Amino acid sequence: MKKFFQSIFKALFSFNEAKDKTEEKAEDSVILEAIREKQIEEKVKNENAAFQEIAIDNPIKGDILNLSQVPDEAFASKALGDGFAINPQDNKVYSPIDGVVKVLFPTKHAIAIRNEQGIEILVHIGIDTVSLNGEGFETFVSLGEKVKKHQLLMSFDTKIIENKAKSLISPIIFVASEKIKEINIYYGKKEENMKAALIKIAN
Amino acid sequence: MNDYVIKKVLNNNVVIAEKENNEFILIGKALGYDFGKGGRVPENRIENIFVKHTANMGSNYKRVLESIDSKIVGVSEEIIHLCEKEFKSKLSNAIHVSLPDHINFAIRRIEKGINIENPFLNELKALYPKEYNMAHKALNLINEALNVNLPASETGFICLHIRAAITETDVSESLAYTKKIGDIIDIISKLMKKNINSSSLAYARTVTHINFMLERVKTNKTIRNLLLESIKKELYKEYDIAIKVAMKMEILFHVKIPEDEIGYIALHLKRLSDN
Repeated sequence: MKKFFQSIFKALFSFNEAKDKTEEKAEDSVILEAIREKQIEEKVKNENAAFQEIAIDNPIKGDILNLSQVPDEAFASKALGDGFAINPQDNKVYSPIDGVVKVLFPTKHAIAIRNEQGIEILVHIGIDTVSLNGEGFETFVSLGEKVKKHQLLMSFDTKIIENKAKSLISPIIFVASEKIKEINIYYGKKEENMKAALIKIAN
Repeated sequence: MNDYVIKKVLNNNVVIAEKENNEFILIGKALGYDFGKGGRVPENRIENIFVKHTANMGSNYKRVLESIDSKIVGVSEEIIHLCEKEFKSKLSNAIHVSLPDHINFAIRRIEKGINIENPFLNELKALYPKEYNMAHKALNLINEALNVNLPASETGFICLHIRAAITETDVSESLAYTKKIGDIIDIISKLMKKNINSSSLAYARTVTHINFMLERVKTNKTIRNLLLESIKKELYKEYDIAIKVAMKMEILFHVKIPEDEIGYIALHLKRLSDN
């Protein structure tokens, strides 16, 4: 932006100075460059304006990690979609978005919420926790129920998972990620319900 | 006279003929051999007729005839004729252009030593067994008639062309579908922590199961799963994987998989893990 105005300024206020052809030509190209830059800027702004930003709040208090750190290939390889992982420091799961409970695993170790833009988030407690067959898990919502952001969805027993399942690390997956154009994850220690990610979806 | 007069011989069995100012491709045993250019073809010798200037095909087909070796066009027409006999239905017009085009490119590629792998041979075999079988026959015909050695991977590509022509879709559609099926098998392997040997019966069966399941889901023909509650309880591990597989399918195929089907998937997975 600054360069653009500088060039226009220069062009406007240097017409009085004597110039030879090559200098004028050089200035023309500087102005052209600046105009092109501005056009690109506008284009990028317009493109970004065509996206909607959705904040995804942290469902479980803990450390937000890269998905590749999940000790399970199906999740780490993003086969189910992109996302992040949480190393929990509490045992309660809150809804990351407003939406509807689309999937509730019978063994209560995973739940998927879908919002009205069609973004579906899978919260999967631990790895290989299916083998617990529900032990230590409690659900507070039911399939098809409308939920609000930060609403308490489930709770689990940290000790049981640590002792009997493969890992406590919990993948959070954006299912149907083809709608999502950009994902920004905020890694590090986060309280529950703090912003964990920002996603951009096409309008 | 109302006869077909041969304008050009493509090969022993395939000729371009003119009748009442219209041009046709005629296929019949030894037509080219017995009658030659200028010869009149009796109707009782004709096994199949292809109208040369079909509405949206005219210029493309002309290009094919002009730029591709007539032997290639000839064997393509024979293959199409064989398929139409086998499937008892006419193939989409597009294959009269796409098949000779493909064979031509394949031969050029092999000559240059460029080998394109077909990673979906097993899926194609399981998904489209009839078309695959015809493609295999086609490959032999091509290799014999043109004195070339097209590799087995070509069977897959020809299979896709035949499939597209039978179902009046694009080759790219069939290929995209095949790739998606491959993705589903891939995620099943990852979730079950078990590599399903791609040439095994188990693999073929899984592909078939997914294929038919998609059909049922798309046409709303899912049968109520009376064992569903039992499956959720007893086969809870397989059901967990089945839910995830269903999620992947919903993304890839834009369908909603009902619980009954998830139950059937779980049953299938149990069979897979037992073997």
